[in-house]
Amino acid sequence: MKISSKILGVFVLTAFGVFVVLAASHFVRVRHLFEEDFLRNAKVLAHALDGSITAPSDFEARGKLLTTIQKTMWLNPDVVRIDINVPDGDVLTTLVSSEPTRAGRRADARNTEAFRDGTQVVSFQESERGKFVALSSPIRSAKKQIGTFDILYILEVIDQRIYVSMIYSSIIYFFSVFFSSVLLYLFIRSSIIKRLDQLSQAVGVYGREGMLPDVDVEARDEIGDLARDISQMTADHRETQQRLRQAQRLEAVGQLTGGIAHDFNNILTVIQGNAETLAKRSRAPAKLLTPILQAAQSGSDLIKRLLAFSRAQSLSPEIIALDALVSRMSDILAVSVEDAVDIELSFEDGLWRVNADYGEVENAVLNLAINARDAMPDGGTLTIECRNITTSSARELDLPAADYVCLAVRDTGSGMSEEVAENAFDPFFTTKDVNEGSGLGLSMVYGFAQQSGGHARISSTLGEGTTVSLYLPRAEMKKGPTAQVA
Amino acid sequence: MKSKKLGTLGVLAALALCWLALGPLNQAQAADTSLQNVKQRGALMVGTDIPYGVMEFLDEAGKPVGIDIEIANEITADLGIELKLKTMPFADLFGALKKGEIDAVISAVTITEERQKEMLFSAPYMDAGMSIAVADTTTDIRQEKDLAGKSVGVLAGTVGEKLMTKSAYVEDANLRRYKNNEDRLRDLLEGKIDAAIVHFVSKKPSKIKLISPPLTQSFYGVVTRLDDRTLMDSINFTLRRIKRSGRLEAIKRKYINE
Repeated sequence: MKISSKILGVFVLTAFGVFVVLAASHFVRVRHLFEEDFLRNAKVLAHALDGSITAPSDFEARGKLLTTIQKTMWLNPDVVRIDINVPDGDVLTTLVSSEPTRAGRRADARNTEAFRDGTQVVSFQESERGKFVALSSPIRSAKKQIGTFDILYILEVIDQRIYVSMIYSSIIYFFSVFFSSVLLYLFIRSSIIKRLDQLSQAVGVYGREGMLPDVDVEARDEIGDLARDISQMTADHRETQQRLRQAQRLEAVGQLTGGIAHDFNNILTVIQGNAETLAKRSRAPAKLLTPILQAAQSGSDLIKRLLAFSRAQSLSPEIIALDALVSRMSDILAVSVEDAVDIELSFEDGLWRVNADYGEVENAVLNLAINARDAMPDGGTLTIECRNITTSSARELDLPAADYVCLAVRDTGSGMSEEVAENAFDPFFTTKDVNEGSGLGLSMVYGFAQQSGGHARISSTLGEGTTVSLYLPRAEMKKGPTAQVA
Repeated sequence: MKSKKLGTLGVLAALALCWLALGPLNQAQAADTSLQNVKQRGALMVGTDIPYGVMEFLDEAGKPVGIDIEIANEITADLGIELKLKTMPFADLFGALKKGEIDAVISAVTITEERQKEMLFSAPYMDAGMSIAVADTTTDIRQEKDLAGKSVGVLAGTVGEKLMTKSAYVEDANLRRYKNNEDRLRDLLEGKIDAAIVHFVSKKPSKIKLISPPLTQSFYGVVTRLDDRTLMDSINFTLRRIKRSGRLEAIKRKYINE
């Protein structure tokens, strides 16, 4: 069931409930108002009648009283009976009535009470002849009770009026509740449902095409939060996928390279070994043998680097303090980079030790520093930073949750395009001139990091610079010596 | 538990007693079948004395019209039955009602205490105070006192006659008793009498004026037999309805100059 249908359902039910409650309360209120209205009329009437009798002697003019009664009834069509009751000895009896056959009857309790207490007494009556309200009201002369008026009102008009009023107010209630519900529904639809639909469509598009269309991430509400989360999530997802692709490619290339390098190394070993033996035993001119030996050595170096990339080089891991290692290299780094490049070193206090091959770490730092230098032909700042990272809190790392030390080499150079950055770890991939670089530096760094149980990453922004981060696992201090590096 | 059960039984017994006690009462009320009879018959027999001024008269086609006739029509319309008019002299109407020849009298009957003791009257439907009527040209009669020595026309058996008989100013010799209102008004216009005691003057162009204030205040009511309460309730319902809706006022304006 769609959310809009649910909301509409809730609205219809709520509207109906509100309507019923309003109508019922209206009915009760209107009935009360009309009854009060009648009672007020009756009281006014009683007052007027009271004024027409000024002394007990007025009772003797029965004809005049009757005319007054008739006139009152003539003016008030809802008055169906008027009695005038006076005490006869101890008993209150009807003296004059709009129904003269009632004369001489004993007055009822309502009148007795009104006469005794000097107050108006109201009673509602219902019979097959209709609904009535009766008001008994004392007649005073010279501040003495001399009798009572009893006015009987028929309430048939109340029901008629209530009925008419109910119809009108029901229509008004119904439409006001209906329209306010529709307005509220439309508002909710435009402010929530429509936006949710847009988001849902956008996520659908992302699922099919891998690109998230523009979503409104500006709104400062829950849906805005959701849009921002989705936008962030899809961005992360894309990045993760990209990195996965890169890792898979590097893995495949690494295996291939490793296999070739291994076989090729065997071949080279034969060539190199025999060439060396030949150099010792025969008298073949060095002019011919030296190039063979040199070529074999070059081949061997190349193989080493390829093996490094394919994570198949032989490493001698030891416990290293990276901050000390980098500090020691500051001289050689200063020589390696141009004068125009400033070097900044930054180490986190309490930096953890790592377990890695000392020489390979040095090589990696040097390699990265030289790459950084090359990226800043006009000078800039080279920053080498070491800090502790725990991957459970570092979502961006494709590493098992553990403690790592990150060694980041950052330049303020030209930066790389996204495409270049994605391929930068590939062996033989280089943006340098054919003779300037082998295209194996970063591949070696990558392979070394992987082989050491860590990771290497490039982040780069064109025109702002590049950061290559090397993540090396924290050394388990219990097993190794406390400090290898002084 | 037991006492509760006994209590319930007691309440039931009391209710049964109440029912037994009230039963005969209900039967007594049910004995008033006046409304039921009229409905079963499908017609309301109304007695009236035609003609009597604007209250009831025959139009050019000989059809009974007038305020009373229209009110009678409203009553029968509410009941969904036919109106049957029985015309007879005013003096015979109450006798006919008592004998059961008619169900109701609608014939400009003034509500009086004496009549109310023998018959049932509806709520007043018409303010019918008596006034002195004179020809347009008459200027010397401005109040009851001025009637001394003048000849005054009244309708026999009416409140007007009673009023003049009791009057301190009108001598019995000068009182002219008419049986027919038209004869009386013609005589007034022709100067055969000086004044007439009337309820009101019809809308027909006439050269008669009323002296105000009226001599008396009195009201017309519809009459039924004393026990015919249910029929009277129904008549009163119609009267309240036409009074509230303004229909009664409209009927009066149709016939009376005010």
